[in-house]
Amino acid sequence: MKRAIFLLCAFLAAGLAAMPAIAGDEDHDPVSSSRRSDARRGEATVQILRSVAVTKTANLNFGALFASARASTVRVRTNGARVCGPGLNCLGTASAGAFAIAGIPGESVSVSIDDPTVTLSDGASHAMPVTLSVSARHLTLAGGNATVRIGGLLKVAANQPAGVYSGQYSISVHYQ
Amino acid sequence: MNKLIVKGLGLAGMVSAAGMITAPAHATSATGDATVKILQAITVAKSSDLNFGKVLASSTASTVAIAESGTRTCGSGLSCYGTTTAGAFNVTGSTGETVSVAIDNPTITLSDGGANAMTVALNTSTSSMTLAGGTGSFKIAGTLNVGANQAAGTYAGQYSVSVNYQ
Repeated sequence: MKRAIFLLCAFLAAGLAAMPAIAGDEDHDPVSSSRRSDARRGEATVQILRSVAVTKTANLNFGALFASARASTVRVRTNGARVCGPGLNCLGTASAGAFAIAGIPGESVSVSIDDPTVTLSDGASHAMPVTLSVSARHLTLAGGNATVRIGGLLKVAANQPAGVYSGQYSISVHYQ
Repeated sequence: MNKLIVKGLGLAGMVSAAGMITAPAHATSATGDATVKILQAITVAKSSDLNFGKVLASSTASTVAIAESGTRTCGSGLSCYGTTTAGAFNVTGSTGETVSVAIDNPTITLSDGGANAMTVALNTSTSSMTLAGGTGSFKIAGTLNVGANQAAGTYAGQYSVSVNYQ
């Protein structure tokens, strides 16, 4: 069928010089159009993502401690466990920071701490530095949700003045 | 003598026969060639889809463009992720013949299967090509119009191309 049509077209071309072009246009062959339709059809796709929502669910808390005559550290791991440095007495309850992430189910996100070093202040002239760490830099939003936890290493100076010290940090979460 | 007459009659008959086809009188004979070339049917096969990847929409409308190289240009306000590809087709036909390439529907609509849609403007730099070795290929670029606060979801749409002998 196809061959017969091409032959006919060719004869017409020889007979009518005015005809501009003779097409082997597949559309002109209804008999086999179904066979061809898939081959000459392309698909265009895109996925539109919903913004990631990040909500703090827990503060990073080093608990309470007695400073000593020499400098030391207190570490809170991302699982919330506290490691009290030599010379220090650690009291109270410690907790890791935690954030709930909500987005498109199955998508992967990257997590980063905007400034991994934060300074805790007593509101006066005293300060302590904290180096932050994150439980995972890459997460998959199974079911659209995930939790990321933040740990920290607090540096306590020798004879650190008593007081309540606090500071703020922020994290960024992006689709990958 | 007798022979000569017969020849003359034969000639008259031939002239008369030619005259009936072209003009009633004063005809001269000429020869023409009738030729035909049988072309192999063109086949077109998609080798890759046009994929814009993943896009995080914003509160203002913007665009995402995929070049024929597959390179993505993410419009202002948008964040783009994932891998991208340009559309691509392979063509087979008669060796050495030139074919024209056209996108049947240069503007298509991508739908999420629900009520949300976006339009894509398609284009290709290949308007014609020669089937060296009986094969050729061309690519499809596209520009996606992303609406303000475009609803999240997977959007898809179809387009078709026509390849014809010239």
